[in-house]
Amino acid sequence: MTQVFFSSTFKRAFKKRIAGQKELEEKFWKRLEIFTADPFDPRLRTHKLSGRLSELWSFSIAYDLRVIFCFQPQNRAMFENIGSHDEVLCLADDCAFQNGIIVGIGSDDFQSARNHDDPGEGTYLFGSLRRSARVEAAFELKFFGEFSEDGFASERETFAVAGGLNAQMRISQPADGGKEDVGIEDDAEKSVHDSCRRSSTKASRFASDRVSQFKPRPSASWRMSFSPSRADVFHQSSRSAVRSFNTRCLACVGSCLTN
Amino acid sequence: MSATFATLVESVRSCSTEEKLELKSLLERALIEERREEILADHRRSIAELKTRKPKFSSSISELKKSLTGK
Repeated sequence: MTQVFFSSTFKRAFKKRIAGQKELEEKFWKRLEIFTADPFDPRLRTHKLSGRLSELWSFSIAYDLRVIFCFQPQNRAMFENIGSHDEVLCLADDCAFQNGIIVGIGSDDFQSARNHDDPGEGTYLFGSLRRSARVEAAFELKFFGEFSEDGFASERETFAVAGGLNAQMRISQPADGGKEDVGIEDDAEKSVHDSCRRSSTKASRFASDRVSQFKPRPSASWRMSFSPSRADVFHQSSRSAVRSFNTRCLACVGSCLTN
Repeated sequence: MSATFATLVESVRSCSTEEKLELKSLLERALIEERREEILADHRRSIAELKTRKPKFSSSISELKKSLTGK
């Protein structure tokens, strides 16, 4: 069981944002019960924050309400704050946009995109991307599964990206705006790299969801190549391994946003 | 800043739609950034609290409820 401590800042946030709202309070205690049993229970959609807040994690209480906490040694966690999706899924820290091309995206974004059965989160993410006038192309990334060194595995979907999975990516407009495949390469031998891999193999363009699978390694860096959209994704210091993605062009198809 | 809030609002109103959208986006980002700064500051305070006090960690919901709501 995970032991929890509420810091003074959390108590303040609780009083301000949850206390007195019966339904929310009930939800909070139910979620806390789940958290103490397993902080990475998929229902919590636990994930690491990005950028300057990368020491922190969050889990979902309700739409637009997340508990922000940090892990402590000996299976303990300190609850520190309560934030909205905007606050915890901020793109500003890790993302920069150049010429309408996303060059950075954090684990939170993957998290959101992956929850395709939860239109709220997906809509949020893409709403954020669209809010930036500089973004012309965005991709929905669908995870079909994930496993981590810590054993947070799932048959089809997991919601926690254990250990953080920040990526830098550059995506050009895909040729056809259709479904494309992503391969992941274990690049554990190189700590950080910025090499580019470009593929224009027509044969791979319409392949379904061929996936590369690798066993995760601590502190490994992962390189993913988007094929054939001439996009490159670099993962570093990731402790989790993602075994499957699909990408889909979003920018030109508004109806994709809630799919 | 010599401009009053009222004159600022008037200036914004006189902007083009595109400029207003850009301003809206800038303000939204600025507000989120401010909030994230607060979260970071709260994190530092919480860590300090952890070091100075003897926090009581628990996995008992009733104990946690008591520590949070006093009930």
